[in-house]
Amino acid sequence: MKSPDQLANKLDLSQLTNLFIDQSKELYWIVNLDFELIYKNNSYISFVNEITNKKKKLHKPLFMEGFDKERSEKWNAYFKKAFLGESLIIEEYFTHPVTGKNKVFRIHIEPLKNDSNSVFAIVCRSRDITEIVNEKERLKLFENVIINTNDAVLITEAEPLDEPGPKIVYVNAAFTKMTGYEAYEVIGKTPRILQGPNSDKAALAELGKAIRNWQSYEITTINYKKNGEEFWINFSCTPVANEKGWYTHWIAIERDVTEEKKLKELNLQVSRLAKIGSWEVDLIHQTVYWSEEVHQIHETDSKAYIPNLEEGINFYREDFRDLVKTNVENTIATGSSWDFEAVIVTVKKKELWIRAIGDAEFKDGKCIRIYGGFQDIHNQKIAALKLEKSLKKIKDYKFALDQSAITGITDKMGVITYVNDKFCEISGYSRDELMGQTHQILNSHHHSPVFFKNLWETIASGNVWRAEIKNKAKDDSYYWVDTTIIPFLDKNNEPKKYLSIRFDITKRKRVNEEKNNLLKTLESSNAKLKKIAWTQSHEVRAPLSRMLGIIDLIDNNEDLDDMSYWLKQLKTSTLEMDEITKKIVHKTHELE
Amino acid sequence: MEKNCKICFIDDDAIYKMFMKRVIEMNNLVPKINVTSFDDGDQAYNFINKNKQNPEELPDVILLDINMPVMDGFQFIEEYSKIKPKINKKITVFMVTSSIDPSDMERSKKFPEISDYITKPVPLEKLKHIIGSFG
Repeated sequence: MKSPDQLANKLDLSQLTNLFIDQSKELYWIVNLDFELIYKNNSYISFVNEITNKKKKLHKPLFMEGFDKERSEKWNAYFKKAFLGESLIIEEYFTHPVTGKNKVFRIHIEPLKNDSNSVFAIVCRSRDITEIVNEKERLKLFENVIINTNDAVLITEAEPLDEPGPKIVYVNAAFTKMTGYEAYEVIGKTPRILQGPNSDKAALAELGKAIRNWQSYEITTINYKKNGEEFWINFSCTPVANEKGWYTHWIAIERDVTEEKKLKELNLQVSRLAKIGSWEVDLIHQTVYWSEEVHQIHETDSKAYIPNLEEGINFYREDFRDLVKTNVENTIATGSSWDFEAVIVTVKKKELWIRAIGDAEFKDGKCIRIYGGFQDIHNQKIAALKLEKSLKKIKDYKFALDQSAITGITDKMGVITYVNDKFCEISGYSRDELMGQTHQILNSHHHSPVFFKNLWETIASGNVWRAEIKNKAKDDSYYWVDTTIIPFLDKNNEPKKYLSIRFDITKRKRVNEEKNNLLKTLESSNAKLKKIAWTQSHEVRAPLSRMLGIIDLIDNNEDLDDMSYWLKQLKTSTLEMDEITKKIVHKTHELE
Repeated sequence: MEKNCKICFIDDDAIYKMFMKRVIEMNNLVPKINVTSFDDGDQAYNFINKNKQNPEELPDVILLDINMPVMDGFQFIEEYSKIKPKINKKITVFMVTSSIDPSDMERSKKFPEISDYITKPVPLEKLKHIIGSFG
């Protein structure tokens, strides 16, 4: 531009100016030493029109008029510098007075010098770089995001995709944190250094296929940290193209999913342990899906058996099919979910309790899918049924016991904590009166203190005690109870409470007493009768045998010389016998 | 009938003892009335105990009553059995009683010292037989 040849050809220059400068998209303006505009191109004119809205005519060069005072002073200073021969490149940030948008112009301020090298004018060339600046800011923001994100970011060159693999050009801090590799250790190397023996070869092969077609791809696989530790990583690979559309880089966003993976694995294990499966019926395509667990529960082969809705329902035991059908139909019709327990008959004819949960998905008011969970609850259910049964049994026992026996419970100190209705009935006390009392309240003082001492020694040592007790009711009447006291032991085998079961034996006791009295009477009568018999045998027969003898003597000897003597003896014996007979009658009367 | 049989009644019934003596005498069962009698077991025991080495005084036959005052027939036989080995004579004891109580008869059988049990009145034939066995 400054060559003497070009300067000589001024016409050419003005033609060039016309051609290139006048029509340039950039703003051109020339200022003389008096800061007066001596040239402005079309872009300049239209820009000034734009910012003044054509209402005002600017006399001074751009930025020296129409903005604030500070800016015009700044420009004053620029021009002064330029007049002294300095070339300036400045970036002018301003707000468009009409649109209010922030703008950035890059402006070259160039002094024009004459042959004697003194400045005679200043050329200003301005280019709108707003977009570039914005883009830069945006990039800076993005970079900040990448630097600071918790996800690891790795950028490689686009190629080679075959061995040795693309080179890493960038990793962020999160990558270092995740893998243990510092940036300088991996830049220039391939991301394949993160792979190892347990990496998912198949998934990586799929990834390779995708990226060869410049497709984004996401995989989850095991990777290795710098210290050799395995971890689960989820990463998405996206190709990055330059403005020409050429792919220049791959950007990979990576996340350590070890914890999630573990959790998922755990969930899987838990559902396997809990024998929970899932199923789905696609009503549009009429397909049924069963998870592995659902197959296992039905004992169907997941590889060979293709389930369908009808057969699925027929797996239920006949008595449950109506319930299932009703639920399925209801859900398809109304969208209400179900949750029921039922029995299925597996392929191997095993009856199993299961729990089925179902829900529906609707689209445009039509059910398109039903889905839900399926759980083998057989063991729990059987246990629950058994428990229910045994609870019922216990209840029955309690009912029977309460109906027939007087039951009560005391704490280990003998304080009454429970009594049944019969207890209240026989004792005459209300439940409230008995609670908190000891059995002392019923003491009839019939039994000795030793009796109760023995009771307490027996039950306190954990043994069952049984005896008949005479108690006193509230109305001071007595009742007898056949009492069994059973200690309930805690885990240290110490009694924690005592259960007493009593049966009312008052009537039996009374009958017994009467029987005993009767027996005593009978025994005494018997003794008297025996005495009478003895008297008969010994006393009556003594004179009688004598009389028989004497009569025989007289009968055989009619000419007995001492006849009168024997007759006298006979009379004595007869009187003696009469006396004895009277005595017997008297004694017999005593018996009555 | 040279042989002599010494009979001893232990009985509290005086008329019975009189009657028995008269029957023995009337029927000439023994050549000479040779009868001793005691009113209770105690008297009889004392006599026998005193004369246990004196066979001349001791009876051949004892007719023992059960029901007596002081010492009854059973008590007597118990005491008698204790001194029996020391008695220098074979004495045959008959339990003779007016009792027809079977328990008395049963009880009598338990004593080996008692040869038989006879219910009063003693039949003449029986008496003849007892005395005759010593004749």
